[in-house]
Formats: sequence, structure tokens, C-alpha cells
Amino acid sequence: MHSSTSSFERVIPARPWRGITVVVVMLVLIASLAWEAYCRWLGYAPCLNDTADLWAQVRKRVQPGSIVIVGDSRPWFDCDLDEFERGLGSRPLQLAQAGSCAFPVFDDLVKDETFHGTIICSVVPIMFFAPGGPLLEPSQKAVKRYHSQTLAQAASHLLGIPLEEHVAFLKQGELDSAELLRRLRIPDRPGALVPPIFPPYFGTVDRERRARMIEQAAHPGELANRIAHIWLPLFTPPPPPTYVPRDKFMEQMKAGIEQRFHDVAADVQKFRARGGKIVFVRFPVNGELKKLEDKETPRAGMWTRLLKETSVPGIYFEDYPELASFTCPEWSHLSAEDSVEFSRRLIPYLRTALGISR
Amino acid sequence: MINLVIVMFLGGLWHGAAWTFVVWGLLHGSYLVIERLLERYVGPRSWNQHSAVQLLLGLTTYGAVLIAWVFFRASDFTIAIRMLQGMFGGHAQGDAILTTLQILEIAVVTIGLFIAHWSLRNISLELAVARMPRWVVTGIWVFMACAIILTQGNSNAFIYFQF
Repeated sequence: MHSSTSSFERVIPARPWRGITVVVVMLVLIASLAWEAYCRWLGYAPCLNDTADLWAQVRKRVQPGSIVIVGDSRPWFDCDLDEFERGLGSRPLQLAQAGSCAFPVFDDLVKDETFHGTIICSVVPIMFFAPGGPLLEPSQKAVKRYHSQTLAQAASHLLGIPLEEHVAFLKQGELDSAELLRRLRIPDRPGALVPPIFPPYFGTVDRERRARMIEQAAHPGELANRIAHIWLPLFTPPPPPTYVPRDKFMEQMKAGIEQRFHDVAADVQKFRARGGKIVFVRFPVNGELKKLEDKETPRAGMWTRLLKETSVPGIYFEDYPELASFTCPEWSHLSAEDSVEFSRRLIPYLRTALGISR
Repeated sequence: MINLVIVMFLGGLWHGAAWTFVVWGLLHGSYLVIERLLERYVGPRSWNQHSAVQLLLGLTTYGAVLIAWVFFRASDFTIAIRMLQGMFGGHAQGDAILTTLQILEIAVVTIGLFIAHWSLRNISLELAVARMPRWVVTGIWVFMACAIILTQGNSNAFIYFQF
């Protein structure tokens, strides 16, 4: 070819490519199978990654009269959708977001004028009233993905589902190269702003985003104990950044919390005006984590005020012996087995709070 | 040369409707214009073919491209300027926001990229692959495939999937 473009054509080097390809495929296959076997031996099971795309997929299923669950990881682990469907007459959609403030999701649902269903909202005050920062990001990212998901992102997610459901090592943030490198525990500079340590894998997620605690974490032991002690630094408010004076930072935090009370009350009013129903729920929490939450966010200052200013019914697990009798193995979530029984016991209170008759 | 600048300007704008992308495109356009002018008015001379000068020119190009990337990634000019100040020692007492691991990762990738570019300055990739022992080609290929599998990137990782 002698056209003007011929000089740009790349010549494939003369190598035995067929043989090399066969060897590469075999070696990669063997390495992948060995890695998969090792991960399963460590206790990992194939399940979906809880990505913004999976959240968006569930969000798309919200109908005008749907029941949706929003909040943090507690309703994510503690709500059994089968029991909720049996008790409430319709299968709820799981929109709770692990490690995140519920408000961006709550606010987005309220802004959706077509939606006038039911919102079951978990309140962990330290998360729900977080004025900004990392606690809002997962929810904000998920909402943004729902509104702006591209065809390529949706297709990539759908293609990934069958793979993730069969391959245990596909665990983003857990078994990817970035996390594996992080586990090298290379010492940091004094004063380095090291990212917080998140709990290891201890739950599975299905297509409905129903999370279930794995058996190894559901009983007292090394894993449950390790996870429990990871919650304490995660639930402890971080110190102010060095470039903001402490007083000014505390003022900003206080103003942010006040704004959240105001925004939630305004959203509640708007949502109820078009026939929507809301209930706030405080899911079980135990041990040192409960003590920390009570100290940092006293019930009277947060929960009671929230119910008072919004006039929304609330269910606080401690107020009901049959809900308070559950023990979270790692202080923050119920085991898969207990989540079914807890949901069964929670239903009558939800029905009363939401005015659902038999 | 005007066409070159226009093309890079449009290339910047294509990445997003923000002035930061425009600046990124214009910076690249201006770099290419400077390169053309140097080629035209200076050209290859014995002194600029010396390895040390070539290394210096390579590092200068690398530094210039890094400055342009700041405008590509920053969401606004305030952040871009803050980042540039940091790059030139403006935040000597700032928070240590990078972990040692992150610094090492960046160093390894940077050195690796620099070695790859340097070793391919006077030889094409095809010729380099043709000269490699078969086991090295196989090993590199296996390493890259395993790295892709382990990275577990999703659709967020690739900017062009956002269009």
C-alpha cells in the first residue's frame, strides 16, 4: 500500500504470537483460579459489590407508591425484605447506603414530585446530621449516578453482575490491588492524614441490595471483635483541619447541624403535603459503640428533637423490650438470622407508625 | 500553528464545558507551538543532542505537562492555583495529605514511565518487542493481564465512559 497513510500503519513484530497467546491465557487462567481458591479459603463468597450503579438500578424501580428504606448500613443489614413484604403488603426497595448520611437520598426522594410513597428512614445521628464531608459522599455519589448514569456505565454494571455473582475475588475495596497494597502497612510520616480503616468483608449483597452478615462475623470471635473495634474511631468525630481554627470549625459544624434539622423538617412537610408517609427508626446498636453514640449524640439532643421538629413518628429500639433484646455481634449490625426475626418484630410498630391497617 | 492551537483548544473544550479544560487545551497548544518554533529556529545541533540536554528537555516537557494536568483535574481555578502553589513549595507547613504508600506508588509509576519513554526514544515499540526474548514478552503480557484483573476497575475508572 502506497497511500499517504501507509507510513502510519503499525507492523506487528514477527513473533510466535499464537504460541505466546496460548501460554499467556493458560498462565492467567491458572493464576486466576489459584487466587479464587485462596480467596474462598479465606472466607470470601461470590456476591455483588454495592456500587453506585447497583444503587441506581434499585432507585430506578421506585414507583409513585413504593416503600423505600433509606439510611445507613443498619437497615441495610437489619431489614429482611421478605418479612417486610409479608407485613407491610408491598416489597420495599433497599436504598440505605453503608457508611453514609441518609439525607441526600431522602432529599432526592422528596424532590421527586412523582413519588408519594413511604420512607422508612434509619437515623444514626452522627451520620444523619453530618453537615458535610466523607459521610455524605457515598449517598451523593449514588444519587448523582442515578440521575446521570450513562449507557456505558449501565452496560458495564449489567455485564459485571453475572461475574460478581460467581467470582469471589471480585470485591472492590477489599481484594483489589489498591487495598492489597494498603495492607502492606508501610509506616507513614508523623502527622500524615491517613485515611480511616474500614471493616473487612463481613456481609454479602444481592441484586435487591439486601445485605447479610456472613457466618464468620455473626458469632463472637476474632472477626466480630476486630470489626467492633474499627467502629470506634470511625464513629469518633474527626479533629478540625489545621487550616481552620477550632472555634470557627465548631461554629460551622453547629450551623451545619442546625441547617440539617431545618432542611429535614422542610422536606418532611413537603413530602407529607403530597401524601407521603415517613417513619424514623433507630436500629439496634450495642456495646462500646452504643456508649460512644450516646455520648457524642445524646438522645434528647438529636432523636427527640428530630421527632419533635418534624412531627414524624419514631421507633427507637431501646423503647421496646422485644426489639432491644437483640445483640449485634460486632456492636452495629444484626446477624442474617437475627435480622429476619428483628424485622418480624419491627413490623407491628411500623404498621402503627405508618397507619397501615390489616 | 494557529490551527494547532485551535485544535488543542477544541480538544480541551471537548472534555467538558469548563474554563479549566480550555486552559488545559491552550497550554498543550502553546507547548506544541514552542516545540515547532524550537525545531524551526534552533533545530538539531551537536550541543542539544547530548544525553544530558535530552534528559533536561524530557524533564522540562514532563514538568510542563504536569502543570497542564492540574487544570484538567481541578474543578475550578481556585483549586488549580492552590495545587500549583503546593507543587512549587507554597504549602511548606500544610497537612501531610499523602500516605507513604501513595508517594511510593507515584514514584514507581513515574520512574517506570520515564524509563519506558527514555528507552523508546530511538526505537519503536514494535522493534523493542521483536528484540525481546520470548519469555519476557510472555511475562509482561501475563503481568499486565493479572494487573487488570486485580485492579477491578469499573466504568468510573475511564473518563471517556462518562460520555
